[in-house]
Amino acid sequence: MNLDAALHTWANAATVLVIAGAIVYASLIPYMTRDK
Amino acid sequence: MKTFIAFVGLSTAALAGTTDERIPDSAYVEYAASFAPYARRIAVTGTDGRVAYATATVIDDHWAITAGHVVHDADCAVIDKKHEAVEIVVHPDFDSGKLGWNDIALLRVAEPFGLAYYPPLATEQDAAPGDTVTLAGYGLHGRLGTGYTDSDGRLRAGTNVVERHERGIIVCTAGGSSPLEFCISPGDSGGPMFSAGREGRLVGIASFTMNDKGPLRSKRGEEMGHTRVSLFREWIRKVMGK
Repeated sequence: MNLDAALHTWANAATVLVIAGAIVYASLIPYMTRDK
Repeated sequence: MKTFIAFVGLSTAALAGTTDERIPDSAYVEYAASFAPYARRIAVTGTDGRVAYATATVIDDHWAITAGHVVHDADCAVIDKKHEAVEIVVHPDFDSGKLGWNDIALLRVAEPFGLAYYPPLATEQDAAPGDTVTLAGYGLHGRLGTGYTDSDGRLRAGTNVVERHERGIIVCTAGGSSPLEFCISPGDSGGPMFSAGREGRLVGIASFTMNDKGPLRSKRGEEMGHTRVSLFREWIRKVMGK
């Protein structure tokens, strides 16, 4: 694996983590907000 | 990778709203504009110091109406960040242990709301089973298929059809075929249900949702209960001194 390929893999992994984090955050919003 | 990102983006966007997927969320926000003078956001500080948000309906220069469960444990209630309630009157027979039981309360404010028109209270002839009604509130929003997912504090209004009356409650089911199908969610409690027609009488106060299929998410098929205002007209008049 050359440097370009390694960077590409890490960039993909980071993107997936950010998206997963956003989805988890969005799903938690109703529980973080105290609405009646 | 670009394809993957585009797919996730579309999926996330599809999660926004507590409304009919076939209708743009903006239609609910625009429809709500005509009810904004009466449907107000209320911040309630409980005796435990925690703040909760809900909805109240302005019915007089100095009075707003909301659900009993919104303010029954309130230390302080402020409407629209500027009208602090100087008096909170929860119905004497309200019982937080019983779903929708006399779930109604009145708030008196010192500074008048100053509206030229206030929605009249319903009579028992209003909102009969089969009638289309309008609901409004500042609660969490999402789509009827996925349930509530997000919060932006904006007022949304939509419609539903009265299914039945049960123990002082107006019951509707989410997911029918009314023009702007809508289901209440957390934060909509205390919000108005108006009758259809030019006058738009206040027929209900948002109280609860229920189902027998698992967690409540304001999804298609869940039932919602509104306190039937017409049954409390005399109590409301007595408290308001009218």
